Amino acid sequence: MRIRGLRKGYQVSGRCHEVLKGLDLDLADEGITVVLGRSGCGKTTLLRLIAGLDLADSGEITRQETEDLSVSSFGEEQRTETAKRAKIGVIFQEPRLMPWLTVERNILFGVKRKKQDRKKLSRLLELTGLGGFEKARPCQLSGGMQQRVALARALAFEPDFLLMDEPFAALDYFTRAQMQQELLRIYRTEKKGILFVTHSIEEALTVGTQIVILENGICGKSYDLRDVPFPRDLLSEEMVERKRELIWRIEEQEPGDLESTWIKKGGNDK
Amino acid sequence: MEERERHGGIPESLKTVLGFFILLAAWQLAASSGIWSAYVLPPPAKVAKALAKMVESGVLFRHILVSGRRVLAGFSIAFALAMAGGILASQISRAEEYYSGFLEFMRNVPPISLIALLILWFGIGETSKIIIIVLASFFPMYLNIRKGFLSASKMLLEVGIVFRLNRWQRFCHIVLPSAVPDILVGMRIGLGYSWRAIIGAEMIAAASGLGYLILDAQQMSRSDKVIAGILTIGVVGILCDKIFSLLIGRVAGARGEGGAE
Repeated sequence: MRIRGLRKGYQVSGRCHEVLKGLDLDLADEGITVVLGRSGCGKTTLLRLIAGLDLADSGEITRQETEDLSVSSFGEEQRTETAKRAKIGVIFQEPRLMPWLTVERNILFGVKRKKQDRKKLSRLLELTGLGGFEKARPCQLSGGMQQRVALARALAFEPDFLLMDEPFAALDYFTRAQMQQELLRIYRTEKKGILFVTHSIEEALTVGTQIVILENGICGKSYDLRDVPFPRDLLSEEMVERKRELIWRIEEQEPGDLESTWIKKGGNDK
Repeated sequence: MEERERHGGIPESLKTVLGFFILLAAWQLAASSGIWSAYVLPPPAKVAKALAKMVESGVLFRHILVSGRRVLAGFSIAFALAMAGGILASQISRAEEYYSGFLEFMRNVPPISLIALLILWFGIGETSKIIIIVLASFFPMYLNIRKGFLSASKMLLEVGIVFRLNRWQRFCHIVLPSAVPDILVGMRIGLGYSWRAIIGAEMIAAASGLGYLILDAQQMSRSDKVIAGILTIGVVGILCDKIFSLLIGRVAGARGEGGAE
């Protein structure tokens, strides 16, 4: 997926606040691209534009040299048009499950009735570690389990590409670490292109095959981690070095704000 | 007070029965004291006898059935209208601006005040009674259904967009199910209003139904039958309400929201 010159601003109390200022980004069809940046740097905005939930002011999002999905002057019809071409699954920060549906109905939410089959469902239940919970309601599950359902729901949709918006940010340290490993396991079997948005450097280093730093509304330096095998030991000398570099890099962009959150909290913010 | 009930150790249902029993005893005491004549305050036994007689002859059930049928017809029409109005209000945001003033006006006019006009226009047949019910039960249903549709979570609607549901599918799969608790609450209130309205309408212009039963008994100076009629209305009303509160409780329970009201 190719993104060129993406711009998006929001009206904040009468003034236009530009979040994305002509962003360019290339996303591989395979691999986990992590977009890393501070809170409020436009990570979620970028993701919402790709998902078609918001409309860009200008710029274009193209997929695999196919037709141009120009996003300037988007209308409602054009938005659905985009969706028709690229099948994109989204996992939000919150699970966003339908509270009135059971786990299995939630997983099949995006699947057309004719295409629903038990084999696929049980495969997904097994893949996401939800076996035995298919009849449970979302309110009966823990946060981590709910996020698994959201993941299974996105996979059941059979997307070409997965967008993940800080999906594990609301989970505790241990659940988060576990979910990161599960994501990698699922990635190995599904082999999908994933865009993973996070503000946690450790998370980026744990799951990313490519790390892109989002700064000042454009994509800054990009790091290739394809050669670093999973699972990664973040305490190894090499990874500590990479982490130090990332912290430097992100700190550099706002010299006035030296008391960076992740240094204080040892990388596991929030 | 709630606190005391919780620690009282007496089951809720027993308390309810006990309350009724105390009332019954007071009634019996007052009736047998001889202060009022049996015409003004018929003793419970007399009322029970009148009730039993009406049950036996089937008169009571005939009247319940007639009133019930009217309520069902009027309530169903009002529900359909309220759903349509709710969909309109939630899907076409500007539509409401045109009719909300009129609705507000109608909401403040008691339906029974229209009965003179309705009889003039539609006669004393079923039509005018059903219209009264529609007018009485439409508003609580419309307002609740509208609220339910409009308060559908934006986050869940975005899930619908991501999964490429069109507007209609988003309505059916997200807006409608999330509005179910509000719709049920509206129906519950609407049904209660329907019952109240039909009794009033039947007391003004009818030849059957529970309202008529009471009016007829009054004209025959049968105060025992009047009370029997009132008791029946109350019991039927409670039963209808109970059904809805059970339904609401089940829906809320399944979603992990707090219990029923």
